[in-house]
Amino acid sequence: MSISREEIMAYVDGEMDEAARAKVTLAALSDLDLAEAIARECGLRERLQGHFAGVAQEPVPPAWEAMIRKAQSAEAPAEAPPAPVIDLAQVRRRKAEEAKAAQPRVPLSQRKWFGGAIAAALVMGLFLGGQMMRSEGPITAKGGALLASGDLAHALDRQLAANEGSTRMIATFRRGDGAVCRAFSGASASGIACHGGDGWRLEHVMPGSDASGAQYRQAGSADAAVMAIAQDMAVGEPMDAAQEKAARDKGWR
Amino acid sequence: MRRFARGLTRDGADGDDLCQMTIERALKSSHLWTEGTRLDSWVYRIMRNIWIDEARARNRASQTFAPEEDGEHVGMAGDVGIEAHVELGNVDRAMAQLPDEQREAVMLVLVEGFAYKEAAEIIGCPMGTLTSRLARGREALMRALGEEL
Repeated sequence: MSISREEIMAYVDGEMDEAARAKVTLAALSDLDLAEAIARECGLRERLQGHFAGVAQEPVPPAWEAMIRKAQSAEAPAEAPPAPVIDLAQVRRRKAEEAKAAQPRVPLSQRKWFGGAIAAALVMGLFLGGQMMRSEGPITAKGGALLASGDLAHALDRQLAANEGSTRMIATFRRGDGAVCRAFSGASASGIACHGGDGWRLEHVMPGSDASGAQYRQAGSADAAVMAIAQDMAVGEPMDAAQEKAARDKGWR
Repeated sequence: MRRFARGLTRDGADGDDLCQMTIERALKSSHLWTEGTRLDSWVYRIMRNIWIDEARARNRASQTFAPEEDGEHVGMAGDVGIEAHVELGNVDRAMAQLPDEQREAVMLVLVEGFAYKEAAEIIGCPMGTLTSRLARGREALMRALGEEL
């Protein structure tokens, strides 16, 4: 299966529907050049966004404020639409917020995955906050490892790549020690979990499409990062639909 | 808005002047904005039109857009490290080398995060034109920055 440059662009820009996206994701798992091309495109996007992010944080020139205030205080004629100025101010505020969200962005190569401690902190903030005191969140910590629980564990146990769900299963593969691992992508988190004696151990966690700045359509970037790691971990080809189902039926052993 | 202006003009002071003119014009013609449509796209279109007019006028007269005293805004805050300066230089240089139409496509989609359809509407071109400009712009940027990505 060959993926064109245009398709890579559309993938990175979030311009693909789910089916086309899944096709590219799968192709990239078995094609290192494609995975690299995607990572490079994501890197370019992030580099440009990072470069321009500071602009919106610069102090607003007093002349602009004055201009807007003046228009705001001028009595609008009855037939004029109300308070356009407020809208402009809103645009500016929103841009500032976007820039703030974009601010800590570092090159993809440096932030692909978070180490254990950071992942734990991130997960606490992202998903456990507010859920910790209740019954069971999607992730629990046990003996220094992060285990999938609740809905996430259920999705990892039951859901096949072809199924719809709030979390998507991007790929299933075996790593060096023979353990079955699954790459997943969801609104609150994406990552890779490997099956072991005590359930699904989260090997890698990163913010999901909601958390990493949806305004920049980062979903493609998160998927690409998950994919790049899966590629490094996987031994042999990713499982196809039949192999995935067979693995599920055998309890992912 | 300021970000897009800076991308279009390739210069902090010119970008800010463009922003100011855009705010003025948007405030004056706010009655032309259709409720329910995207305000940001509308403002960007205004900005783009002003910029095209300015660029034409500037080509004719080959004179400076920005008054001299605005030069003081070009510099960066003193606490930004040298590395950041180098970084700025590389991206700015690579962007400056792009033809205007590729640069604006790159700004709208990659930096501002507009969908292809929205970006094409702002520019007023067919979507295929936008994507081919975007592809060429990207290739050139990759060539210029490739080893650092």
